[in-house]
Amino acid sequence: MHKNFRKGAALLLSAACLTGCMSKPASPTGGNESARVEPPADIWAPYEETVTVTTMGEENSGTEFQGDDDYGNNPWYRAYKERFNINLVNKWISNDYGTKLNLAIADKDIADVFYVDSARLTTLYEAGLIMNLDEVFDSYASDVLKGYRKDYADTWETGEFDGHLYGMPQMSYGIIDQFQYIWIRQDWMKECGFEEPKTMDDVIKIATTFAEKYGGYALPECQTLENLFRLALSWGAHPDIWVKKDDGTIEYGTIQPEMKEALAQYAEWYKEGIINPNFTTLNWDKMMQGMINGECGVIPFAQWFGYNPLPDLIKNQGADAIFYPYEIPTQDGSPIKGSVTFNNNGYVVIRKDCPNPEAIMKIVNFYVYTVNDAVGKETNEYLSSLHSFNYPNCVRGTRIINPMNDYNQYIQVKDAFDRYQAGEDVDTSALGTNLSKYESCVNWVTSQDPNGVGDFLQQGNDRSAYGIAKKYVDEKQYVQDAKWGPDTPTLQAAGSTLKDILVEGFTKIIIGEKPIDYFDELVEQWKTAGGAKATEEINEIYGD
Amino acid sequence: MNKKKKGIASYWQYYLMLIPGVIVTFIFSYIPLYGVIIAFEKYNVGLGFSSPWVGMENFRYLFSQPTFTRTITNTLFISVWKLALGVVVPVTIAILLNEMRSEKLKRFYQTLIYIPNFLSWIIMAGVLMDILASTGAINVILMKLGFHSVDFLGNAKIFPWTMIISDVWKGFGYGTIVYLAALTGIDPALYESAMLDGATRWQQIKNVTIPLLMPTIILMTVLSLGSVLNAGFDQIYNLYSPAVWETGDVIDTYVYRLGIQQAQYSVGAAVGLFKSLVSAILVVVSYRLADKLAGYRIL
Amino acid sequence: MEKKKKGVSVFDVILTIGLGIICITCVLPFIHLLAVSFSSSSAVAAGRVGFWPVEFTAASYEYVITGGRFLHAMGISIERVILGTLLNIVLMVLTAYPLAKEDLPFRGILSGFFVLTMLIGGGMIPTYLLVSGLGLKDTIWALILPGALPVYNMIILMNFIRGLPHELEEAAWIDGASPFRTLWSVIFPLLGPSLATVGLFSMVGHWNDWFAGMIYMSDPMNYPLQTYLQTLLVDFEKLLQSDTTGNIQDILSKMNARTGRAAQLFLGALPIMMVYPFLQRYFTKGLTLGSVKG
Repeated sequence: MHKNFRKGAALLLSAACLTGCMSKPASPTGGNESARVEPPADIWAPYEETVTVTTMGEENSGTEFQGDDDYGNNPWYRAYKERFNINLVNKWISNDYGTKLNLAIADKDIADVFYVDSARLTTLYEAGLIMNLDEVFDSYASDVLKGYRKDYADTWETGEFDGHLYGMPQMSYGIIDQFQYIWIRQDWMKECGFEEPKTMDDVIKIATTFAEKYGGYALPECQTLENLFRLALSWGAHPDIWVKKDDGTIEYGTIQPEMKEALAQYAEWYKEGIINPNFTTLNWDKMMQGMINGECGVIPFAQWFGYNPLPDLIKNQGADAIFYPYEIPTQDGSPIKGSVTFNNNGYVVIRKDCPNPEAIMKIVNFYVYTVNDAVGKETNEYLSSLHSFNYPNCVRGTRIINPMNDYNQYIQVKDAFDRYQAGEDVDTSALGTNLSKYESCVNWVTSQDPNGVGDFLQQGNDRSAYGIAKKYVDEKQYVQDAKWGPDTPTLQAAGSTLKDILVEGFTKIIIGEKPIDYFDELVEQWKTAGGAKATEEINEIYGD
Repeated sequence: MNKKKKGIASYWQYYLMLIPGVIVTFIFSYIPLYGVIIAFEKYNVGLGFSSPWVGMENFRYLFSQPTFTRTITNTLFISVWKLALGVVVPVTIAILLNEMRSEKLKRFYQTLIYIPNFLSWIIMAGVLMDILASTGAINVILMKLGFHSVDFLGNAKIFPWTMIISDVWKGFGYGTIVYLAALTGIDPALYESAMLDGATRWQQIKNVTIPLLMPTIILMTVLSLGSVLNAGFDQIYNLYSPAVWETGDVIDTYVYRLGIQQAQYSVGAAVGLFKSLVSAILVVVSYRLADKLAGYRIL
Repeated sequence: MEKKKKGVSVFDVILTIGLGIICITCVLPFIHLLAVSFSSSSAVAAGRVGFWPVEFTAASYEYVITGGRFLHAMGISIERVILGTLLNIVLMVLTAYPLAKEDLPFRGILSGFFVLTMLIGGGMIPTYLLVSGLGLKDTIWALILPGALPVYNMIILMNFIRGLPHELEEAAWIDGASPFRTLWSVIFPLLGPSLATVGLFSMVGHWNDWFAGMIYMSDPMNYPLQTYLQTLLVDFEKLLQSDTTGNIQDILSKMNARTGRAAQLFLGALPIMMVYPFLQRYFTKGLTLGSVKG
């Protein structure tokens, strides 16, 4: 995927810019697609007579319906009617989608279009209940959608059987949100006069100085060893994902020698009192509680630290207690490489006997259109009416997410915010659905609104998490999970038990109950508990 | 009454009365029985009930799965403790209530302890989540007393005990009332003669109350044996999470996850059938025992 | 004996207080829930609410009542309880009475026919396919018909009928009354306490059931109350398990839902808590009925 990634980014970016710059008053029915689409003259054309399409959906309490809106009547459904004369009807809506879906499948009473996970995709395919999408995709998918398939071919292949497309992957918001950072508290950093850490020793120096000066402990941790697993990247370990070795075989990242090195250092730190001595009694919530109480000023964490726990921390400790993300320094000083996992929200499938599969492609195209080339063509109000209040939840079964969504969003928001900071005029209408992110950043700098700090630290500036991650994406500074698809049967059956063996053993090593060489024993335990079988399966399914 | 014994024909009105019940039961309890076939097939939704026959394969697969075998252990652990405490606690409370002097207070207490019994597990789960949360009432009290907070619902070692104790707590009112009813049936003369012999209250309980309560205790225990494989779906399903599957996943929740949520229809049906058969045997045995030990007959 | 009972010993005091504490634990959680539902969400989040509302507000109740969804669900539950309990009672009486006739030919086989259903079932999927095939999905009958004859309660009722004196019935026969007439004018009036018990069990069962509503109703707007309340639990569970994958802003905004949830749970429990004390004596009687020897 990496090779296509930048191409895809460039393509989409230029597409967005292009359409944004050509201020053509075109509507999506304007037939602006290239000649690559052959037979059906205009894939955006509305039907002469109303076509009814059924779907099944998930209840989502995050959706804030306005006025009389509900799951069957909302901006999206109205848009389908207005633009394509398509009547999308919900067969049912459930808060336990999986259960209802399985009952519906058993009953062979499924809607025309809906989304499934990979296990059910297989069930439906084997039962012959879903359509081969080769033809309808070729004829009716928009160019951008076809671009997705080309640029993310390895993900789209997981929706194919014998080379035929049966489920269209719904993709995810992109890999930019998957990276890890070291977050450091700014008021303390300034007071102590520290610079950005260049080595892990710098990090420890900062952390221990904080602990001496402000009390608490240097590094937080909890029972699940979240922070060890994040910091291990510094040693070149990639815990939790499957890595391809030089000889082409795939192995589990958590049991590699690099992990042992990281663990040895970690146990050393624990002995020196750097790690919170009480971590074995803390779950994640408790660890976060400690952060909110200001017990600690350094934490390895993901990009969303600014959303949780930072707003609470700021309410508690004041706005100066803001944390900034920094790159995790590597042991040998080489550029850090993050871990990137397969992230696909599901598959859009079409019922085998559906009389109007092309109507469904129109619906899917429309979602793709609104998140790509619609900015500038449609009014800001129109786009945000579709994308605000979590309305996209209403079309959970028919949408395909733009994998560059967050990446593009970052570029737009940062650009607008930079201009705002520089005192220039900001054309908010060009921001489309990203307007609220931009406004949050402004609210943070103008009024220190704690609810805005998350967006500010995620993408508001160069020093934001996405500012750092953009480089990782552009420079391909990451290792991709070799298991690019769903879990194998053994992994599914094992649930969390396999990982639990390792976490439990690692904990013993860290607290000094066992020597570091116990690691090798753990690896054996892991293998006999099903790890060996899982590795075999992974190599069979995902290997070369 | 013998004079009323005529031919079957004279009973036609009785059979007429039975018709609605028979029809409803036949439709909703007997027709679905064809579904057990799925347990012996590799069920494919497209083929329906004519899916390929695999015999005992699903059962073999099941018993090779550690995730299944652990559900049996978990089920037994949770339900045996629930049974045991579900006898000891109500018997103790009933005896103590029986010792109370004030009839009014006694009735008031009975009313209180019986309330949780009638509330659904949905309501109870909501209440438990709230008071057992890391910031919930119980942990606040624990921490004020200087203890560490306890992750009642998220810690796999503690979760089964949370289930056992909350279930006993919810249900002990029912047992208490049954035992109290049995206690009020005890002839007061027995206590009077014990008192004449100079027996203390404790001796009265030990020598009069408990022996006379024994048949009811045995009966209640034996009757509950039949449900030993029901560790409480409504309760556990609404309170558990993947973090506690290791100790908290029971047969019913497993069937549900596998058969319904994960669409492994055949394997789910196999677990269901296995459980049904074992339960049926247990029920028959326990009712036989009840007949033998306590002279109790259901029919 | 009277003399002896008069003195209040230390034992009695400890007993009364000790039992009092145990009994109070049975209602304290509900009092806490009530206090939470009437408190401000910030006080709840800070863990400052015990058994008395802090920063009193009825906003949660306002939200619940005006939101419409709760009351609508409650209406469906009430409809279900009324229809379902009536049907249960009719079918139980009609079935229990003939089966209580010891001399009814094939009584053993017929009893076995009913008892067997308590031992083995076809599982959820065949039942679902059946209900769906009968076209009952999305109707109140999907919630009522599959359990229209609760066999265990029917047996309790049957045992009660067998325990009734035969003389009244025989008098009716001599007057030439048909079995239907006898059932209606002689037996039925005598069933009072046992019918109240099994009827109340039915009511509680219908009120408390959430599962059928979830699988047979297509539109969440048609969920009965307990099913609707269950959706609130699931949301809360998602909130507890929130990790890197969730939309953090969404989840944070839901934190305030705790007081609202408490209000809804409390209102959901209220009808049973209100009805129960009045019917307590029937329950007590009914429970001991189960052990009536046949």
